[in-house]
Amino acid sequence: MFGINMNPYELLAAVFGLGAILTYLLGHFDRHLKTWLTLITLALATYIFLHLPNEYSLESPSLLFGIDKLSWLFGILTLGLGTIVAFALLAYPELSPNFYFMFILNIGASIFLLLSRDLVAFFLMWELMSWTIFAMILGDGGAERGRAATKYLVWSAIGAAFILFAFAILAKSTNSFEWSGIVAGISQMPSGWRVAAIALLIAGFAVKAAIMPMHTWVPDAYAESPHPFTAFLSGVLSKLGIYGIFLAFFVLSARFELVNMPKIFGTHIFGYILAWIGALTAFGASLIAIKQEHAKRLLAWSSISQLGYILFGFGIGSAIGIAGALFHAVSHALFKTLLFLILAGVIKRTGTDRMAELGGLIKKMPLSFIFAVVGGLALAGIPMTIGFPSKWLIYEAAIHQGFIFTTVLIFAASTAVFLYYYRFVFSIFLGELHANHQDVKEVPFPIWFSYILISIPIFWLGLFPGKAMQIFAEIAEQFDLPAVTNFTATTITTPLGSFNALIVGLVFFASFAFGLLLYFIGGRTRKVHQYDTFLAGEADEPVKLHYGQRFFYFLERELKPLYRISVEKIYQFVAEFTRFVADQVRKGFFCGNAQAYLYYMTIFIVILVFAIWRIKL
Amino acid sequence: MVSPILLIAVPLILAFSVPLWGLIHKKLEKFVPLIAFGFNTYLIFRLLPFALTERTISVVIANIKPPFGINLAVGPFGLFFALIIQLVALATAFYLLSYDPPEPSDKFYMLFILLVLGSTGMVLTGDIFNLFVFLEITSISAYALTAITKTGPAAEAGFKYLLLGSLGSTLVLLGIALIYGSLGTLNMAHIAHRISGMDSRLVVAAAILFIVGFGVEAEMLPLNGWVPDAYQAAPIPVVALLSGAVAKAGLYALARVLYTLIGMPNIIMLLLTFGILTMFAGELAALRQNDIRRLLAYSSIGQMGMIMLAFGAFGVNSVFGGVLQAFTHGITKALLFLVLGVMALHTGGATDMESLRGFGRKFPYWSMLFAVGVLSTLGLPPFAGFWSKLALIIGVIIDGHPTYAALALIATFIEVFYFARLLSVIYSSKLSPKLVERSIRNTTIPLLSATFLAAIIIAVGLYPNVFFDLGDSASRALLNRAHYIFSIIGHYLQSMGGV
Repeated sequence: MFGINMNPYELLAAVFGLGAILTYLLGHFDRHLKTWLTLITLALATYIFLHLPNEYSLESPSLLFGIDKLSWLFGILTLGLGTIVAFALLAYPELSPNFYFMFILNIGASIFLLLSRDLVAFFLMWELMSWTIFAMILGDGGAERGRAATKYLVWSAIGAAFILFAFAILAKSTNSFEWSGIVAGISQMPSGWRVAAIALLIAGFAVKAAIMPMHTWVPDAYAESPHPFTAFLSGVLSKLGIYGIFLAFFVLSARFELVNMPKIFGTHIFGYILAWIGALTAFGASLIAIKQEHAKRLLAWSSISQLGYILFGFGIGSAIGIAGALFHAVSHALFKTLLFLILAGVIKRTGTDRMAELGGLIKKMPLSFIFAVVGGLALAGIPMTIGFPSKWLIYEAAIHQGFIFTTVLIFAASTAVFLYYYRFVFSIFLGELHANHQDVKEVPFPIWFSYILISIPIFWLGLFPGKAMQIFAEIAEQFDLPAVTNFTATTITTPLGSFNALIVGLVFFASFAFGLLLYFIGGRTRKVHQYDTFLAGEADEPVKLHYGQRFFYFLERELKPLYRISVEKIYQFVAEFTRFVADQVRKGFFCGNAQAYLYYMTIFIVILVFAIWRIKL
Repeated sequence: MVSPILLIAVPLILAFSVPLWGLIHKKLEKFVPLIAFGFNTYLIFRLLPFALTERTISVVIANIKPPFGINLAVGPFGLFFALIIQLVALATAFYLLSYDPPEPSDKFYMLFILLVLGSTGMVLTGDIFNLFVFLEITSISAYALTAITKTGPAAEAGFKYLLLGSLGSTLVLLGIALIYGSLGTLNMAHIAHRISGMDSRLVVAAAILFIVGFGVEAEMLPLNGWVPDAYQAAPIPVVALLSGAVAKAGLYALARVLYTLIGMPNIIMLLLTFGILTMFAGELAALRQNDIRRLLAYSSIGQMGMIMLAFGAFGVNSVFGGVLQAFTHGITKALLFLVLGVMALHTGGATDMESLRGFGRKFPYWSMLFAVGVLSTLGLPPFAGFWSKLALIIGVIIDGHPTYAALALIATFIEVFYFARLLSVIYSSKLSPKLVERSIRNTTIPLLSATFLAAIIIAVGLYPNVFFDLGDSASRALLNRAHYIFSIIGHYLQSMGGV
């Protein structure tokens, strides 16, 4: 191409780098140019990504890149959803060129993170991906955004520190910075260090994957980041944490004899602990989602909960569990991007995400409502949509493994999904229209078109899960993991039985259509004006009867003891304590008194004498 | 090969010629530092190929060969630090072109050149007494420059610095006296060669004296009380040099003395503990600091602690990380301080966070430069700080001190917190009422000088190869004690019959 003899990997990096810089520079001239440039960059990047050769190594600094089925899957998710989000960004010309610069850089870093085959490249891309998120959360710099961004960056640093520490241990013990060398050498590691390294890696990735108890930055960051970007943050970037956990748990641990560890319900203890963490995350976060007043925070907690499902699937570690978890990662990426985009559209039109201030938007924004239902169906795991096979596989894995307690938690979390999602749809789209929203319009074309684009794979993979299962089987095979191999385009067969997603979906659709038919022919409805209300037989002042505030108060009241458990309190205590010590050091130690400093020097000499006395003489 | 003596001789002549230039035209004075350091930077780049080898070159002065004469020992380790000092000095000297120096201006420029000259001499000398002389040149210029604005806080800060610094140099002199009394030589290679024959109690005593003496300049924990005050009161270009040149020279001296002269692993490993303590003290003190100048001063202490930690790990990997971190810290802190100086021009001199709130909304390019510095300090790609911090942490772990690496990582959480807060204040949407549209001075020259430093940070971040090579040979040279001795006094030892 253009007579330039460049490796596709270099070309890909050049596309992202130049795309980001050009978008930044030219973005100042025209409001829409920056989005189009972003789209062109992503399109070019996708084209190159699909034609990457298997391996590429950079001499110095020696970095190694390559592509396999797993990076292909997550890469396609990143680029595809990134492009869709960028398309929706056409409706947000007010975002600054800085944002676009960071966005392209972020996608580029994510792609190269997935392609990296050695620790340095991985960590480089990981950090680049992390801080560009910080820049985007900070954005135009409101007070709350500053606080959320700071919190995010500190957590991100904690995660990165865990990862870096684990990488250094691995590199030291295996004498290799390449994944392949580490995978080969890990069985020679002392088992204590081995387990520590993998646990640290999982803890580090859990920050990005929003797994409890590393999740506290998530609601703030999601609530404060630019609305269309939140879709990408939740849909795609959290999956990079999942990708990391997959690498740490399966690619690294698969080679070492987890089998020899004590087993509980047929799963080794490491996986069992992960499954518990995942189940508790799924359950706890969905309970908290119920009581949120802001829709963005509701979806944020819902994200945490769904990511818990994925970790649960990994923890089970059986063929069905891994396939289910990967499937749920794909499905969560799709439907959560959709939901956050819908919410972005609602906020764009109404200016708020406080559910008590919304309502009745179905009349004004019917398309958004329809897709909100589609996303909700997927979130709840209803047939026809991608959520059904993915959640079903996770349930099957749990039941097949005989996990009693965690299965109960997972099912309870699933019930909570119905509760909070019902509230989401009801408070925003149903009920009575707010007086301020009388002339709200449907979301602009770029946003609703992006709904359609995401919904295609949601339905397609929901009805024909076989294609996805094929990819998961290939991934499992690549890493010597157990795989579900018994499937056709529509049917998945597991030891517990088989189901045909197409038939289940069609039956479900038929019953839905039947209900709709009954609704249209059966009921006699009379249209009255919204404020045509009466109370106890008496026509009163017109009053809005939308029920939005403290929707599930009755549940909150019953679950009070559970809500009192908060890991945030511990973090706050640590922060308080650090602040206290910091003040002591600043005011007490650096007291500004020259005499005190001379005393320090004298004491220091004495300490040195004693220290050296002990070690040397 | 160009003679490294010119690195010291030319600025020395130029420094004392400043008043003469001032006689011709007052404006000419400010070009003298630029000429001096421009020339020095050119020399350093001519010498860099030698820094990539592992050789240490002995430059004989007055034709008396070591160990008897005074000599320069120009090796990769020293040249690496000289490079840091020169780059910072060059950017700062350029910055000075648009800076109104405190009067008397000729003395300001003179001291300024002497400060850099002293630090350069410290990292290049092969003679321990000259090390002391250069230390005194550096620190006396630094005390004077700290207090040069003659305001109350400046005088107080200068006095504190003077008190600690002069006591420190006295201790260094005592240490030298101990060694000279026992061994009868001042040549560092010669001392290193013969120190094993010295009474070990005296060696330990000398080591303690050196640690305390050089620790003052290197901002080591209980000796760094002068740092926040001096950084706050001194003129901005001087502050850039304090962290970029003086602290680095102090660190060099500490490392050189402990590694080459004393060479006892147990004593070197004390730096691990001091490094960690220094790091925590600096980061914790910065956590709730609202004045950005003091915040950067404390952060400088923290970073110096991290570098000391790396030097304490006593292994080639961690020292590699340590020298890289010294480089990035020098350049980055200079950048941050220079940008902060320009920021203060827009607030009437105030440097607290509230006065600078929303600076980034009005001055995007300046804030971008500042953000580059902050992100590099935090060790984020694609900036130079990423590579150095990565190399440092991995190096310390590979050299067998995972606990210390973990503690260092914990300290960086604090660092991330206050720097993220700083960035969110600077990029806040709320504007501080103190911000003015136009500064009182033209900011083109500071802009170019800060851009120069930021360009180094980004260039090294994107193409770290040369940087790695330099750091690699520097760290190897430091650890290869026998090689150092042989390069300097090999001919003498051979003539003595290969002792």
